[in-house]
Amino acid sequence: MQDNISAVKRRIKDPNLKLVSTTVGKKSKTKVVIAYIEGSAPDDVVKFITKRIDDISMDYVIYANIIQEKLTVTKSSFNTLGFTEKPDVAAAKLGEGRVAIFVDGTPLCITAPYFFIENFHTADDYTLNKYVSPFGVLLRWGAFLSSTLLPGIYISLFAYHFNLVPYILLFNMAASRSGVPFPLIVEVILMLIFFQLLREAGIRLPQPIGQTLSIVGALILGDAAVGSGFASQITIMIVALTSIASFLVPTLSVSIFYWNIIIILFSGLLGLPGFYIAFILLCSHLSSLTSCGYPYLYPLGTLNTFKYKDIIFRGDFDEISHNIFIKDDAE
Amino acid sequence: MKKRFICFIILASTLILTSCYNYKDVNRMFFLTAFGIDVDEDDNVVAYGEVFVAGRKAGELQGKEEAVTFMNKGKTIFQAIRNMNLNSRYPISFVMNRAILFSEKAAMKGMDDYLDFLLRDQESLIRQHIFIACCPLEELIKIEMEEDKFVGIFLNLLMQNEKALANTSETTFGEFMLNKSLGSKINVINMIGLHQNPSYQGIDIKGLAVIQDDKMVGKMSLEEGRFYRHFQGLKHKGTINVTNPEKPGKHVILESESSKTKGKIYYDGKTIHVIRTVNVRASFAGSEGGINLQENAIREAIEAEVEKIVEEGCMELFRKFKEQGIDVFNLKAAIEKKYPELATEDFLDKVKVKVIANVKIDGSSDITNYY
Repeated sequence: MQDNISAVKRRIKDPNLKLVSTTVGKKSKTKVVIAYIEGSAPDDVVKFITKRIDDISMDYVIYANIIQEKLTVTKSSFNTLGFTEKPDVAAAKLGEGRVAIFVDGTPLCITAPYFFIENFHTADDYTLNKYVSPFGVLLRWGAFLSSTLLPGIYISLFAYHFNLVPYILLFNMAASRSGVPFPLIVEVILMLIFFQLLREAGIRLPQPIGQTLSIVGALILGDAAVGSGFASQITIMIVALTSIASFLVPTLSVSIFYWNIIIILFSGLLGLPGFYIAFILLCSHLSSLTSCGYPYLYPLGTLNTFKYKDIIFRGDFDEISHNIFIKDDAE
Repeated sequence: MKKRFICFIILASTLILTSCYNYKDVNRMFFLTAFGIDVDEDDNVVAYGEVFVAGRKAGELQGKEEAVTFMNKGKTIFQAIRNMNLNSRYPISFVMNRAILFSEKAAMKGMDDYLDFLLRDQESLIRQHIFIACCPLEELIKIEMEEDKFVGIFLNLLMQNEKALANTSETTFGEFMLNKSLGSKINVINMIGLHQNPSYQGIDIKGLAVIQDDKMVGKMSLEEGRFYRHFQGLKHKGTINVTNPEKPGKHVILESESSKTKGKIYYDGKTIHVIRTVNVRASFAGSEGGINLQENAIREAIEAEVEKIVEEGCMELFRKFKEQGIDVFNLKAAIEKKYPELATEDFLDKVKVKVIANVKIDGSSDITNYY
C-alpha cells in the first residue's frame, strides 16, 4: 500500500493532498487510507466514504471488495466504484476531485465516485491524439450496445417479426436453422452459456492449457455444434459477435451477460415490445444507481451545468483537466 | 416467493407459445413467395402457393432451399388457402409473399371477391406486386427458371429493375387497393407469361391489363405502356427510336432519362379540357448510319419527331379506350377534385385531351461525332 501511495504522491505534489488513515476489521486491523485533494473533492463525498468505512463492523477485512460493498447503495451488477492498478489513473482521478481508497494488502485502488461513462474510457484515450481516441470510445459504446441488445433484437425479429427482415436473410436463416431441434430462444441462451463456460474455464486454467481450451472451444462452438444440428451458423455468429463485443468493455462483460438473458427472455415472451420493455428496464436500472450520492449516469442531464467535455469526443486538455464537480463559471 | 414463482411461470411459458401470432420458429414455417388465384369450371377458387422450403439432411451444415408449389381449392379464397395447408407439414405464412398472380379468367370474372381477404389478413402485406397471368397459372408458378428458383422473388426483383419498368407498371397491392377507390376505379397492372423459347425457361412481361372496378376490361401493349407512363407522369427510363433525319430508312436511338408530366384541367362550360405537358429529357444513345449532332436543325428534327410520337401515342391510347367507354388515365379522379359536379357517368363524352410534349436531347455519353 505504501508503494501505491508513494507512486501517487510522486505524481501529485499538491500540499492539499490529504491522506486519512484508518483501521478497519475488529480483528484483522487492516489499514485503509482515504486520499483526496482538499478543496477539490466534494466534502459530502469525503464524509460519505469516511462514515461508511468507519461503520464497517466486520472482524476481518481482507479484500478491497468489502469496502466497495459497504460504499454501494443499490445492489447491482454494474460497478458503482472504480478500481485501478495504475498510479497515473489514480492521480488523474484525484485531480478531477475524486477520492481514492487504498486497502493494505490489496494492489488495487478504489476510486469514487465512479460513473457509467468511465467504463468506456481507457488511459490510452488521454495519451493518444484527441482526434484518434474518440474512435476507440465510439467502438466501445457500439460494442456495449450491440452486445447487450443484439441477441434480443435477433430473437424478436426471427421469432415474431419476420416481415421486418429482408427475405434473403430470413431464407438463409430458415435454411441455417433447419434441423436444429431447439426453439431459437433456447438455442441462443445455450450458446451464450457455452461461451460463458469457455470464458470462465479460460480464466481459471493456467495459461499453457488455455490454448488447448481455445481449440476445443472453437471446435465445439464452431463446426461441431453446427454439424451435429445443435445450433445454426447464424446463431453462433450472433453469440460470438455479442461475446467478442462484450470484451471491449471488460468491466461490464458480466453485467452484459445478465442483461442479455433478461432482454432475451422478454423478447422471447413479447417480441419487439418485450425487447423495448427490457431495454427501458435496463435504462431505468442504470439511472436508479448512484455512486457516493452522485447519479451513476453522470453527466447525463447535467451537461448544461457542468460543461463536461469528455464523453465521446474529448475536449482539449485545458478544457477537461479540472475538477469535474465544480460548476462552470457562466452558470 | 409467490411473485418469483409467477415470474418463472411467465418466462417459462415463452418456450411453449406457438399460437397464430405468437412465438414462431423460422424453421418451422413455410414462407409463401408467390400466391396465385384461379377459378375452375365449378367457380371454386383455386389457390396456388409457391413456398420456400428448407430441408436439411444428415451431414449437411445447413438446409437447402427449395421452391415447392402447394395447390388446393375452396369455395372462398380463405377456404382455399386453409385447404392448401392440408398437405403442408408446417403452417404457410404470407409475410414474405412478393407477388399476387391472378389468372386471366379470375381477373375477367372479377377480383373483388379475393381482394378484401388479402387486404384484411394480418400476414398479407401491401408491398407485394400484383400481376395477371396470361398463361396457365399452374405452369407459370411451377416453372423451373435458371435465373431464380422462386417466381415470387424473381417478379419482385423484376419490378425493381428500372429498365424493365420503362413500358410497364410497378403497381403494388397497396397502390392497387388505393386506385380501385379513386375516380373511375382504374388500375393498370402487368400481364406476365412464359417466355416462348424452347432453350430457355423464363417469365416475360407480355403487356398490361386494364382493370376497372376489379374486373379486367382491356389490354395494352408494351408500346402503349410507354405512352401510359408518359401521360401519367410515371418515371420512364426507356428507349425511343426515331428515323434518322440524315439517313432515310435508318434509326436514331434515344434514351429517355427522365419524364415529368404537368397536368391542367379546366371547364369552358361545354368541354372539360385536360392538358398534359410531358417534359422528356433524353440522351443520344446511338444512330444507325451515323449522324451529325452539331447541326441544330438535325437535333431539332429528332426532338420534333419524338414529340410527335409521344403526343400521338398518348392521344391514340386515350381514344382507343374512350371508344370502349374506359377512362384509362383515370381522369375522373382529377376532375372530381376540381369539378365534382362534372364527374358524372358520361363525363368522358365531355372530355377533350391535349398532350404537349417537350423533348430535350441533353447530349451523349460520347461527345465525338460518328460517321
